[in-house]
Amino acid sequence: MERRDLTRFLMGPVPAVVLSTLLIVTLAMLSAAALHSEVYGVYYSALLGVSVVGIIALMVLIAAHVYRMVLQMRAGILGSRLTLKLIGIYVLLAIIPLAVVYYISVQFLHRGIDSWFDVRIEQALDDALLLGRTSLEAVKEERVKRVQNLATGLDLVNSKQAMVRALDDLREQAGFTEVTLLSQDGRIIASSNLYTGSLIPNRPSISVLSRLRQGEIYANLEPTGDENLELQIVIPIYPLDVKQPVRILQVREPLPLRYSKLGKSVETASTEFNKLAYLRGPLKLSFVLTLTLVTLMTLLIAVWAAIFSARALTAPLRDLAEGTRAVTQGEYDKQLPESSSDELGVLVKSFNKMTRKIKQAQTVARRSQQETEDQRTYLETVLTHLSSGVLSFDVKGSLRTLNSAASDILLVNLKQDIGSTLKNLNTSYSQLEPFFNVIQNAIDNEIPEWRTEVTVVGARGRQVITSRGTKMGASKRRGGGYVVVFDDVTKLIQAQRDAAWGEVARRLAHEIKNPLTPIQLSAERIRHRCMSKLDKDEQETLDRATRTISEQVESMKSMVNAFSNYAQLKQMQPEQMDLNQLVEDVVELYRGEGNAAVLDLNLDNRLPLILADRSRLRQVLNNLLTNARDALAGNKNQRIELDTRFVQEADRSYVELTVLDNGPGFQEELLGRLFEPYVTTKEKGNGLGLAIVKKIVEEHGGAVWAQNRKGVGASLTIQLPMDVQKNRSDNDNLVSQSGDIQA
Amino acid sequence: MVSIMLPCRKFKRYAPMVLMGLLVATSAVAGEFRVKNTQAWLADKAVIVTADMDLVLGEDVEAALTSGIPLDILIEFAVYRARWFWDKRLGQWTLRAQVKYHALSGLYIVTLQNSGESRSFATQSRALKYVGTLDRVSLPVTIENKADSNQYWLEMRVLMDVEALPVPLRPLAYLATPWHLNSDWTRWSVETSPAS
Repeated sequence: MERRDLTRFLMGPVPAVVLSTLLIVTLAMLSAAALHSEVYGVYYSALLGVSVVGIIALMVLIAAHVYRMVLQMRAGILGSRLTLKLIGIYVLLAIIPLAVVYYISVQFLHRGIDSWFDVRIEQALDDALLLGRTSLEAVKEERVKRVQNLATGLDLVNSKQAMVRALDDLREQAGFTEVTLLSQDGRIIASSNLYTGSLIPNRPSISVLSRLRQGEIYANLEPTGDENLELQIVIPIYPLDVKQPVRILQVREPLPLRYSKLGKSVETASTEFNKLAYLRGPLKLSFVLTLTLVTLMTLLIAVWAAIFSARALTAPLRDLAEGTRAVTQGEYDKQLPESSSDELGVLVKSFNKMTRKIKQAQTVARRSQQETEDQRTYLETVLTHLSSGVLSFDVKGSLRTLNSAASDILLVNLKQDIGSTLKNLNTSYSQLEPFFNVIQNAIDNEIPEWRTEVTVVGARGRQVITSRGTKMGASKRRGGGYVVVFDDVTKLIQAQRDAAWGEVARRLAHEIKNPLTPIQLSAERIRHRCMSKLDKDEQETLDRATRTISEQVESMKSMVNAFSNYAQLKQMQPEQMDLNQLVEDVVELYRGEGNAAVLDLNLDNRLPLILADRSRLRQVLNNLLTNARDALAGNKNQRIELDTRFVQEADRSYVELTVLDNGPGFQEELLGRLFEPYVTTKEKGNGLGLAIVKKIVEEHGGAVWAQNRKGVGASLTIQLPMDVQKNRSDNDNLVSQSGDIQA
Repeated sequence: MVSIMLPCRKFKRYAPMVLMGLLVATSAVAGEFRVKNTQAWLADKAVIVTADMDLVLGEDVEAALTSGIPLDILIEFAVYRARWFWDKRLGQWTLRAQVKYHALSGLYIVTLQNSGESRSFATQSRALKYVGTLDRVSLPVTIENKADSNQYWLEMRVLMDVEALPVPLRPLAYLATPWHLNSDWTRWSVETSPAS
């Protein structure tokens, strides 16, 4: 048995019941032993010891219980204080009547025992004893005289045989039991004994002999083994002849039966009374001790019963308190044992019913919560797999939720910005400012539904984003807000434009190119047929007219070819390349004779390799340099500058190429349409140079823009993002156009 | 001085209440049992013991005796043979003597329970002297090697038998020190012959 089990067993009811039973039996036996000591007296001390030990054991057990309950009360265990209070009340209720009964019993016992001893009886017994002694003294004196008379003549007997006969005669004549003649020094001379078994007579003691030598007579009553009285008389015998030695006669004779009986009766009564009188104190002690033990045992059993009954009474309350605490801690399936059918039992049943109801409600709530959670997960899954970006904002413009597509489209990790306001988002992601401004504007103006398209220049360059916003209805928990759904339509627009321009080019090639050859042939035929028939002036006119037709047709053909090339579909072939190197290679072609412009290169050494289509970028450079050179035509101090630089921003990095010239700059009204086909200020050229540049740059995911420099000249900037690899894969399915159109 | 033997009625009445005080109280005239001198020697199949004991009763016990309560005095012997690891007890004996007061004659009667012999004495001291004097008491025991008396030794003590007292007196006798008359065990060597 483990220690905890042993403790539980010891603190249980079994030891208490066993101990109580043992104590009751022991005390009953103790009482019997005290009352009938002649029968059970031998067990008295052992029973007393067992009772004391049992009571101490019971006290220890009770003390352990009380100590444990005090500890429980200090620890704040529910119900312990009430249990202790109940025990206190029970014990008090038990102690008061017990104390009263104990006090009265002790008083009664004292008075009862004292009443046994009457002073008059004691005095009467003392007087009887004195009377007995006086009476016996008289008998003794009479017997001494008689012995003295009978002893007369014994001194005359000389022979031993005669002496023995004389002693026998004396003994028989007087009725003595023993007659002994001794010398003065105590030696036995002759003896006669009624009981022949006693060979050696009793000799008088030295003190008796000493007294005889001094002339005294010794006579005394002695109790015999059978509690009768015997008279011992020792007298000296003085011989008539002074020459003869003094002898000593010792006589033993039983007291007459009448005296003996009376003496024995007086002796017994007196002794018994004296004994009882002496034992009065111890007797009281003994009875009081037994009574105390019984009282103490009763009290202890009462205390024990109080402990158990208080516990039994408070157990349902303790259970209820424990159950309530369990419920407050969320343990809704708590059920208490229903042991009684009283009011407490009803309370326990009600508690169990309540917890069952709560449990059911909790189950429903949990199921509902689970369903909501499932729905939310489903919605989240849908949103996550949605290609469109979704952002939600509260009424104050703080970002609340988003899906992963939102971050993917905007190329920023917005998850870390949940809770940030649009203003903060603008600060963090300045490149997305146009996008966030649109949302901010909608929130500020509380526009219920809106749809717009914005262009941002992000990590992937220029992005066209179409966004739709809806104001959410306000609820108690959620105060409304906005949901913004947006898509990156850059590629879509680009594809649409490419398709449109392809169609234009195809139409041009088809509708214009076809009649050009018959026109040219017809013009040459007219020239051939009519030249000889005309005079000289007319021949010149004809020649000039037909040449003009041929030249313009050629010009139109080349233009149509250019469009045809623009529309022609060709796959991009990206490779790791050094932009600086490409710039240097292309610029070299524009140096030398016939090129008046000075070319300055300002190349960034930190420029990393980029993934791009080398031939297309070469065409871009050609177009830009041609444009610049054409723009500088007529200038005395022609200067073209090419700058490259590597830019790293918070969430993107790109390579930037800027071509600057000191020409007249772009016309302000054309700046917005510079990159559209057929927009040109040059007399020569088809207006496709910058359109092609833009198309190629966009194919690389980059951006291009033009602006006039402060003072003089223009600049044209190209940004190529570094993650072209990703861009390229995105563009794998896009059509591209290549050509060697000169601007 | 605290004594329960004073013939005072008031005291007797409240005796139970003060009896507990006797646990620590001591009587002015304290009794004592003591084994003063003992001689033991080997005889044929016996150990002969002659002993002299001091048996003095305190006032409390004397009062009980003169009130007619008989006192049983036990003299206990044990003979051991020495061994190298554990002494062997060869036997244990008890002599019981009862002393009681005969009120009518004023004599003290000593009855030796073992022999049934009874003698009376005029004074209590003589009676106790008689009990405390052993003359050639024979303790029958098997002697293996009489020549080597060092092998044998005697334990002896004298005590009053509380369990022989009347039942009401026993708790008091157990609790009060004047009633604790016990000489404790004394150890004596057993000689091969009586000392001259």
